[in-house]
Amino acid sequence: MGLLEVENLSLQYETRNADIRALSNVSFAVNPGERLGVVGESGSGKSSLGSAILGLVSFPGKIKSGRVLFQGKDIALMNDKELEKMRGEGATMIFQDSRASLNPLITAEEHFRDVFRYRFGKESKQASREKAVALLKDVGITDPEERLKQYAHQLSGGMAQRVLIALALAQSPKVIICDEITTALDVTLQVQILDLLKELSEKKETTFILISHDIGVISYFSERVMVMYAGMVVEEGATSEVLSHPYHPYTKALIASLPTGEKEMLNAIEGEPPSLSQEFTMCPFAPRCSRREDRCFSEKPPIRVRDNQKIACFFDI
Amino acid sequence: MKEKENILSVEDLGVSFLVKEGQFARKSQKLQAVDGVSFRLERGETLGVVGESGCGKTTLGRAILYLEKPTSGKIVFKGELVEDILRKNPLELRRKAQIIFQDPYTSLNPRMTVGSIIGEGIEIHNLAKGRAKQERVKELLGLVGLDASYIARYPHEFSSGQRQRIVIARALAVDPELVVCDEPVSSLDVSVGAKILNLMLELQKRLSLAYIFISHDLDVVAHMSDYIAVMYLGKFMETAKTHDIIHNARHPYTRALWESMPRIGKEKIVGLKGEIPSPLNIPSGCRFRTRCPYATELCAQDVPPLTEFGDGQLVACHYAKEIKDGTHVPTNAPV
Repeated sequence: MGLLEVENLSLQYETRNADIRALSNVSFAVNPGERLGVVGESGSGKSSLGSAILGLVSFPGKIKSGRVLFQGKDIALMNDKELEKMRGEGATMIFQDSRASLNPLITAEEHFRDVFRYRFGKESKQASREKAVALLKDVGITDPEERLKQYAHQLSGGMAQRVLIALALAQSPKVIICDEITTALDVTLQVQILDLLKELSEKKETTFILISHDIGVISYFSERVMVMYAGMVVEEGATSEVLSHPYHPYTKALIASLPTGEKEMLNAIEGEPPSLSQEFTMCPFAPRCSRREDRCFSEKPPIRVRDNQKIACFFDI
Repeated sequence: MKEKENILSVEDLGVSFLVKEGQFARKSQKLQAVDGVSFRLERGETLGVVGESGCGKTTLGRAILYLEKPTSGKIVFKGELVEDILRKNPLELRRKAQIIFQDPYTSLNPRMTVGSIIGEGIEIHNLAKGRAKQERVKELLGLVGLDASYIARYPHEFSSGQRQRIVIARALAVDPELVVCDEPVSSLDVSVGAKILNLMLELQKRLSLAYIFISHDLDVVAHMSDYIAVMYLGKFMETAKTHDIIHNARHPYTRALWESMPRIGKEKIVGLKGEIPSPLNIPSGCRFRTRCPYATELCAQDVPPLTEFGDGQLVACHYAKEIKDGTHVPTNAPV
């Protein structure tokens, strides 16, 4: 049994004009201490997946099928209290815009105190400060006492991201979902944050699900990778395998479109991602695929296993 | 080979702002956003400017077009001081030099149709009227790979990639010779960005445009540029041909930036420690020394001048030669 299992999950946003199928039949599992990368372009459903795992889907979103199991327990069947416990001690999420994730009216220290009070009951200021300082040291902040006094606007992007990671760690969650957390950071800081998360996953056996559009980041951080397109998983496997010899034409095309450092034309993918307002009865990537055949337009390719990699494509390319 | 035609030359450019110390303070501090920057740009070529946030690259781009008034130095556009061009005929500069911004959502007026967005410049500069203007707009839409029938639509009807194409069409509507591109693909998806980059390369070739391409992403800059300038806290740390920046970099900061790019198959990255210091509090001597693994006492005392290392490569580091030769190793104790 995995720590977290997602089975056949479909999520739909029901708007007045159309039902947007953000996730279609997504299944995967993660084990304790594992680092999973989820890569895809905007609209591929990777952020929706993050909120679905935490049971954060709200109107107009609706789970149409499937379930999320946390330690074997279906989160849809949890009561509010269990759900709340799962959302701090079980799984938690860190978002892209770190400064916007902090309350601008209170200091970093008050954020920590709130979490502690909520989780562990009333305790002295001194005690919670000591715990907060220890957490900030864990995430590589060298002057934690000073930082605790500061407000969100006084923290740099990298510093705010570290504070958020420390806040997430305050409840020692088993799974941390990171949604594009390094996208707004400079490359030199990005490496620092990714190294920090790697260290945490090794030292504390924390499971990470890293959502990113950046293949380089996914490659550097994750052990396993899931490639998403139009709300579906199109390829999944060990990161080193998938990225060095991808089987799905979309993964191939995505890697081929990266800049090479030479001033020449890039191999861009033709066309645009499909609209998600209808159910797919065909391969969603077919119209843009260089290897498409008639069959791709009449049938949806099922997920199959090829050399330990799961792919949703009919062909052995 | 064709004679190169100089489009832009910038000498010792400086831009500074006065920043108040807190909301109600009377005292203000000088923030030197761009400090002693010089370069030349020829027709049909691209200078890439790369650096971390807060390094002054956007201010540099804006100052070149006088959207930000330079506080020192001079900018010569096609042999004439920009200041003089602006005094004589401000429209002239605005026609010949255009700018493309990062966010295609905020840079298009939501109440204007695509036709009026692209046509506005044509009208202001008296380039065409009526039917001729419409034709020109349609031609421009075709040029950036959009359908001519989009002319009556509004920006919200388009995806981000299409919007960036509209922004490019608007910039090209007035036949510019220089286009400053400030992070034009940073907000786009990889596959969408790739198409925009291809379009920009193609247009450059076809129209002999000169680009100043600003980005934090060294891979993207390398892909677009003939020359690259690496900027840190307002100063150029290294400038060279793209090939040399990538394969033959001498400045420790350039090397660190390149090394820090995560890539497929790369397992260990030895990056930089710490963060970029506040531009209000620039370190003495070499401004990079607080994060530089090679820094010594000398770096804290003297500002390293940009020194030439052949083939136009300029490096501002006291140990540029020694690091390359391997005779100066990391001290691992930034001063």
